[in-house]
Amino acid sequence: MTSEYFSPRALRGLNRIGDMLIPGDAGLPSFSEYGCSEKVDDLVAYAPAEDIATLNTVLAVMAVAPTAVLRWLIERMTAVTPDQSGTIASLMRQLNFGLRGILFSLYYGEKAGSQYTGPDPLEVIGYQVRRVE
Amino acid sequence: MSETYDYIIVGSGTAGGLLAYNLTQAGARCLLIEAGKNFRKETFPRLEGDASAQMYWGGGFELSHDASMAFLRGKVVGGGSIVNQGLMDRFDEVAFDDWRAESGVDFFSLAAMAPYYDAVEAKLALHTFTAVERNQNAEKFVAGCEACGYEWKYLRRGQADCGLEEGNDCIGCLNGCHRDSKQSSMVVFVRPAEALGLELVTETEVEWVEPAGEVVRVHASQAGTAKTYQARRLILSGGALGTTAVLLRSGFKPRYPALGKYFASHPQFMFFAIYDEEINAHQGYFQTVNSKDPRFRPRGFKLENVFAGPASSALLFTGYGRAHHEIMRQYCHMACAEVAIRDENAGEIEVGKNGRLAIKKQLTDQDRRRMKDGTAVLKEILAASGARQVIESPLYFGLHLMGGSRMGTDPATSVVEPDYKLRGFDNIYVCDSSLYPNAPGINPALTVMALSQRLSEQLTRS
Ligand SMILES: Cc1cc2nc3c(=O)[nH]c(=O)nc-3n(C[C@H](O)[C@H](O)[C@H](O)COP(=O)(O)OP(=O)(O)OC[C@H]3O[C@@H](n4cnc5c(N)ncnc54)[C@H](O)[C@@H]3O)c2cc1C
Repeated sequence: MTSEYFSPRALRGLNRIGDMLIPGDAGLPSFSEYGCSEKVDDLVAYAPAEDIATLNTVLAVMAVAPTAVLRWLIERMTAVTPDQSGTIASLMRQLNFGLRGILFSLYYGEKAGSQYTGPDPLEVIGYQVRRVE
Repeated sequence: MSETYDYIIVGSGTAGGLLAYNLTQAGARCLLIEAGKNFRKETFPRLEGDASAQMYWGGGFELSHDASMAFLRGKVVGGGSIVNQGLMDRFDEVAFDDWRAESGVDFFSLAAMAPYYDAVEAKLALHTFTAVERNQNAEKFVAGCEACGYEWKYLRRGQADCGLEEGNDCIGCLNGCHRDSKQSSMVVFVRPAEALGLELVTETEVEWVEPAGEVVRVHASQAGTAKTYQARRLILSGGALGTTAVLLRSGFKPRYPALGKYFASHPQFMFFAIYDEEINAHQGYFQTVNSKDPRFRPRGFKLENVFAGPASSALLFTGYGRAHHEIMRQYCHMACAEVAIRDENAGEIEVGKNGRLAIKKQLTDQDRRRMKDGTAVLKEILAASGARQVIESPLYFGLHLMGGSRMGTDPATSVVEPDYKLRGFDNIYVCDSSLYPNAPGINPALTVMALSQRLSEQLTRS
C-alpha cells in the first residue's frame, strides 16, 4: 500500500486511528479491514499542500504514540465544543474536522481495499440511491 | 500577455456565469476565469467524499481561524450553484430595508429590484413543490410543525426535470446534478455563453489584479505556471471569500478600511431525529419544505428540513467506536432539520503572508440567542413529530458566505460604490455575494443573480 502524499508510517497511523474511531461491529468492517486507506490519495490530492504536510506528520506520530495517549486525544478531540476558547481547543477542533472528515469520507465512500470481500458499509446501513440518467 | 478583452470576469459561479452570458450575448469579448474544474453532467463525482474533495475550496471545507466554524464554498465551473440546493427566494422588505439603512444604497428595495428578479426568473426553470413530492423526512417536519401550531411552506427551486417519477433520488445533486436539471450557472449561463463565443479558462486561480491605466491586468496561476491576462474592464465575482481575498492580495487594504470586514454566513446547526419506522430521508426529493412562521423572522432564525449523506452525517455526530456504528445503523430511520440564523456581520476576512485566508468568525451574543431560540422551537417540533431520540450536532457550518467587500455610500464602511465600481476605479467592478451589506436571513442566490442582472444592464447600456 503506497501513497503519493503520505509516508508508510502515516498510513499506519491512519489505519490505527481509523480503527479506534471505526472498530467494526456485527456486519460492519473495521476501518483497516475495509482497506480504504489504500485510496486516501483520491481525497487528499485536492487539499492544500500545507494541510497535507501537517496531516502526514500528525498521522506518523499517531502510528507510534501509546494507545492510552491516542485514547485521550480522541476523547478530547470529540468532546471539544465550538465555544471553548484557547489554542488547545482550537487544535482539537482542527484535528476533529480534519481526521474524521478523511476517515468517514473513505469509509462511507465506496473505497474498499483490494483485499476486502465483505459487504460495503453503505450497503449495511441501507444507503441506496437510485440514479436515473 | 494575452489579447486585451473587453471584460475579464473572475469566478464562474452564481454571479459570474450570468454576467458572462449577458455581456457575451451583448457582443462583448469576454474571458471567464475559474479556479475550479470543468465538469459535465456525466463526469461529476458520484460520491460525497470525492465531490467534497474535488469541488470545494480547501479540499472539502475551510475552517475559521479557531476552527469553531466550517465554511463550504464551491470551487468548480458554476461555483456555488453546482453544489447548492438551488432554492430560489426573493428578499422581503425587512431584508432590503436593513440593507438600505446600513449601506445608504437607494435601489435596495423590493420595488427597485423587482424588474431584475423578473428578468432572472424568466431565464430559469422554477418549480414550487407540492404534497406528492414530500418524502418521509418532509412528512415528519410538516407533522411536527402542524402539531405545534407553526406555519410551514413549500420551497421553490431552480430545476427543469429531476426525474422523480422515473425513480431518481435527488441527494446526489449536491455533488453536481447528473441530469442537468438543477438550474446551475453552468447549465443556464456558462454553456450557452460558450456557444456565443465566451472564452473560459479553468483550474486557473487569480492571485492579484493590477490597475494599469486604460486596462486592468489579472495575474493568475495555472498548474503552478504564472499567467497574465488583461481587459478594458474587470469584474470580480469570486464570492465573498474569493473576491475579498483577491482584493486583499492586490494590496488594497490600506485604501479601503472596510475591506475584509462585515462578513456573515447564516450559521447552521443540524439536528437528527430518530424514529422507530424507516424514513429513508436520502430518497426522493432532497428538500421540499421549510418554516414560514411569521414569529420566527423577527427572532432571526428559520428552520430548514434538510439531510446529509452518510460521510457528512457521520462527521456531524460526536460518538466514536461502537457508539458510532450504533448511530450509523439507524441512518435510514433518521429525519433531519437545521436552525439557520440571521447572524450579525461581525466576521473578518484576512489573508496571511503565505496568501492563505484567515477567517475570523465567532458567534456574537445575539447570534447565540437566536441559535438557542431556534433550537428550542426545532426540538419541540421534532419531539411532536414522534422522534424517539434527537441528536444535536456540536459542529457549526456556514454555507451562505456574504460581505467582505460590501457596497455602500460611506467609504469608512464600504468598498464598492452603488454603481458596483471599486471605489476610485473606473474599470474594476465587484459583483457577487461579497458586496452584501449584511446577512438577509434569506437564501442569497437569487438576489446575487438579480444584482448581476442589474449590473449587466448597466454595462450593456453604456
Ligand atoms: C451546500 C450549499 C447549499 C446552498 N444552498 C443554497 C440554496 O439552496 N439557495 C441559495 O440561495 N443559496 C444557497 N447556497 C449559497 C449560494 O450557493 C451562494 O450564496 C452563491 O452561490 C454565491 O454566489 P457568488 O457568485 O457570490 O459565489 P460563487 O457561486 O461561490 O462563485 C464564486 C466562483 O469564483 C471562483 N473563484 C473564487 N476565487 C477565485 C480566484 N481567485 N480565481 C478564480 N476563480 C475564483 C470559485 O471557485 C467559484 O466558482 C448554498 C451554498 C452551499 C455551499
